[in-house]
Amino acid sequence: MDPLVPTYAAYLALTVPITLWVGSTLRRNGRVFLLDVFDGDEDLAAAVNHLLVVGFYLVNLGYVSIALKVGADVTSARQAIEALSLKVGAVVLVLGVLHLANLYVLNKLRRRAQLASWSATRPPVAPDAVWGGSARPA
Amino acid sequence: MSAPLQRVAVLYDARCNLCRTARAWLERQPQLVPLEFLAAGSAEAARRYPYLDPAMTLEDLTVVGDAGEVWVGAKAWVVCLWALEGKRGLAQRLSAPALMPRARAVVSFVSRHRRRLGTYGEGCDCTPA
Repeated sequence: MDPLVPTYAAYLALTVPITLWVGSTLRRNGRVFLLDVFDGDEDLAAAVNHLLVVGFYLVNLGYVSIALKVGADVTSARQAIEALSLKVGAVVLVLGVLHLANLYVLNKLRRRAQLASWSATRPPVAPDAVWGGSARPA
Repeated sequence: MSAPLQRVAVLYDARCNLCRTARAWLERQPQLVPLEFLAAGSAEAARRYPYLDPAMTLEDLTVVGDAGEVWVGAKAWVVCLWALEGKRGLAQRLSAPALMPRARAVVSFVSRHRRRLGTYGEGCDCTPA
């Protein structure tokens, strides 16, 4: 049998579960962020969360699929492990970058929501002095 | 101090070209909280805010809230930015402990040297008290 076939099988057996694991982590913990952003609106948070996770899966599984092919010749077990490690490493790095990008987006949404509610009525700095009723313009 | 701030009076140095430019810029921005501009040291400012020292308001930008809150210098700038649409994030960032001292240094530097920046005392629309 072509030694590349077990290499590809091992590649898929490693990268697909890792992707699913990161995706489920994202789904579980992203929900908390989104609930905060959408002011406790469960349905909206669940919908946005699901859409984000689907996007994550599509991009990542797409990358896993495209990156499958090993260009170099693989004739020994050593070469197979090296090729596998390179491929899995690339997938894990892409996963990491996507995951951090997702966190950035979630945090940005949360910050924006916080900003709108925090300083909606008062400026973010305390006054240097406050004068009593006499301060009201005549 | 929890009642919403609904309007803000800005006392600026109307003799200073830079300050008038800043005023014009603030006026052009969409405001969430209305800003009202008064020339520092003017008769109108003295009538409305008799408790403010005109010399001090001529020295640093001063902002007065509708409940008598007074902000001076960099804090006054933060309040002005906060009053503008789309500038609240900036106001929030500037007011963070890490940036406020720097903002204060920059504002006070510009304020101290503003007489040398551009023309000063020309086109004054105020009557000093």
